Amino acid sequence: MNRSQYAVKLTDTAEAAYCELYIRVEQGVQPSADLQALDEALDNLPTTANDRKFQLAGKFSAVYRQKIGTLAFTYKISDPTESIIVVEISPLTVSEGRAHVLFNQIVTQPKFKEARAVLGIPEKESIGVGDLTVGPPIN
Amino acid sequence: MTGVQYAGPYIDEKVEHVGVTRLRSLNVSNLRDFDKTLVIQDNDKPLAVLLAYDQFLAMQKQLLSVLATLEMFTNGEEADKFQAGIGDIEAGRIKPLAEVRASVKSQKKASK
Repeated sequence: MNRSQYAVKLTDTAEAAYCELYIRVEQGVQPSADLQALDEALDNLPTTANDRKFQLAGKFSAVYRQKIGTLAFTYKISDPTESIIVVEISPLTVSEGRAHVLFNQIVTQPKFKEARAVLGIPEKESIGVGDLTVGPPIN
Repeated sequence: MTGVQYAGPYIDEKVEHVGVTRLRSLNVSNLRDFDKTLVIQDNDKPLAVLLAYDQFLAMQKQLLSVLATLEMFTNGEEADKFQAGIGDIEAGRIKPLAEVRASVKSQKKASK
């Protein structure tokens, strides 16, 4: 993917979300990796036709959507003005973004094993990481 | 919607139901110009579908587009923000990313 030569702009809505994320990272509420990943994605938005993935459907076909870790953002590409407008930035719902990560964290905790022992569930019958069929989100 | 609907059977001229032996007739040159969809079947039982690679990619892209759209609009917060963002564009409420980054960094310095 080539580095975008198009000017990237944010709507007020996207700016508010960006600033909120920045503050959350500063406060240590959210990992700095989330902001880094978003910045990297915004600096490398694909502009060539072949790289334009995850175009929305129907009357939103001029809009593209990317998922970066726990966030998703949508953007419009204007070829005549060589600019990209980020429409909004949103946190993904747990089911979209981190469900599989959270599930892995739960089942690998010692407390999970303890709980299983208390309930008398043999390990081979339990749902372990190896049984996990939910794949990672498509980025 | 016009309200006028065709009620008869639909026959797609680009879809052919063929036997497995048809595969033997395929070669590089006719696969390169292949613009049909073949339903390969054994007697009357469909076994596989053959279509051009580009056609498959177009279908995949279309499916991903629909999924991305569906996913976005089923996340209430994202759908609301999307509408607000479109409103911002229409009202000209946009600014360069570089300006936003500079602004958050200067606010950080000022707060120290």
